[in-house]
Amino acid sequence: MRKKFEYFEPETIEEAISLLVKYKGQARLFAGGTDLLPLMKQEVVSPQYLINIKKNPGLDYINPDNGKGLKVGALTTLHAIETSPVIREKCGILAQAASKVASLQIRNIGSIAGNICQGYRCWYYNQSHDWRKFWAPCYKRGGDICYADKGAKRCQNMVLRSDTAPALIALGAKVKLVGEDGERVIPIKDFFEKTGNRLRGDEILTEIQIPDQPPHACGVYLRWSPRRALDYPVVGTAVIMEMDTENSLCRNIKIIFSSVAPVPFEVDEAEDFLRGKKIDSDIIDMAAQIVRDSVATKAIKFGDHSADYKTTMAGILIKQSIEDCLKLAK
Amino acid sequence: MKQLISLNVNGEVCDVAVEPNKTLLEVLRNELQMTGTKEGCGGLGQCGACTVIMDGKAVNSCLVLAMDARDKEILTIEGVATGGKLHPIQQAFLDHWAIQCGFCVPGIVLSAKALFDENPHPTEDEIKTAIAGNLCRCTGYAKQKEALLAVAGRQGKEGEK
Repeated sequence: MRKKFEYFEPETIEEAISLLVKYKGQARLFAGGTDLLPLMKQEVVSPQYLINIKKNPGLDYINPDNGKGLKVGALTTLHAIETSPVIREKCGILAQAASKVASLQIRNIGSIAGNICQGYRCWYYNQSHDWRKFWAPCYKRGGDICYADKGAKRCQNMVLRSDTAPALIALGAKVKLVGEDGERVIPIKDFFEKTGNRLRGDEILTEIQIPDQPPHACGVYLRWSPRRALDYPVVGTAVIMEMDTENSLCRNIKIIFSSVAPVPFEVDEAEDFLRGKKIDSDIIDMAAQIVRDSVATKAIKFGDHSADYKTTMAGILIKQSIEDCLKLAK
Repeated sequence: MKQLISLNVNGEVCDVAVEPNKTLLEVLRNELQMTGTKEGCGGLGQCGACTVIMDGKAVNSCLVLAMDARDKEILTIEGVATGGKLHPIQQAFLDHWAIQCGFCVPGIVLSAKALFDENPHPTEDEIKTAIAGNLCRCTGYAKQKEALLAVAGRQGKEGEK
């Protein structure tokens, strides 16, 4: 990194929050660093103050929540989540999603909170400073064009490409945010807005709360990317299905798509269609068409992958996800 | 401002003065002159050439700040061969012609060593997952996979994948 910064190692959350407040807008929290450090090396962000929150004891845990589910500490690594027996048993879809992130080296230091709070990515903006300086500045850099979406009148903030976010949305998880005014717990599906996540400047995401899932629920997270590792997902699909296996009926289903559009979204129409139906290959094909129709209205081009391509992949992934859920349900 | 820190590298404690913005990779190569660990992708965590083992886990040293490497046990490629004898992974890479230009090899050896230290008999899928974060531009990975399967087999039942 060319740019220097002042470095802090607060030992409590309160100390970390007061640093965020004191250096408002100029400070960044440093957890695993696998999202932040590349951004700093590319000079996409250049904080003057870096707050290393890993010295806080007690943010790394996976604990039962009084019989109501699980509580996961913000600094739990993705690898700890992918290999945790209790997560695999109670909310396997999260272990699957965590296992697909980047590479083992990154999962060994990357935190779950970091994966959730990662910066939205833009194929133009997330390039090195030296590459970007050959282009006239985009809206985000004070210019008057968006290279990712040429017709856009303002910065599009592009796409959240987290793998764990859609899985956690499907699980109905909540996040605990602690700031100077105290703490608040919000559903993770409300945490992501088109312009960024809802973390305030003085807040730290400290915990993820995952409710117990219905007894016969099976979850599958699938993603498509050009390579099987190291790439961000081009399309991510999180499906949790509750089956009445005796009658092959779908009691309930959650379908979340991510990386297709700026923030993850639920495909209510396909869920409504599948609920209460006997699942066979014709029904799955019809559901895939409903998914494609819905995704087509939201998908945006990103780099080499057109909206059409993402829509096609969404149709393929939803079929695979439902079939995998059926296999798990048996 | 520079800070004096102690790093435990390959069993030896080294004291270095570092700015907070220095990564472990930069300190290994520039301050400690241990150039076995490579930078392959501009320090973005995208190639694995900088892989070291930190407290038993394979990590990208380009994404670890030197300040965070204090109080950790770090193993680099320079520490893999012991007593002048190659580690079985290194020997297997030679035996199976798994090396061309050699640039990716320190990273892959360390990713593989982290796997074998935890699981002496990995399956082919487990081997692939362990080295999925290490890119090789020369070999197409086939010989490396063969070498690592051989190490897995040698330490367990013959012919087991």
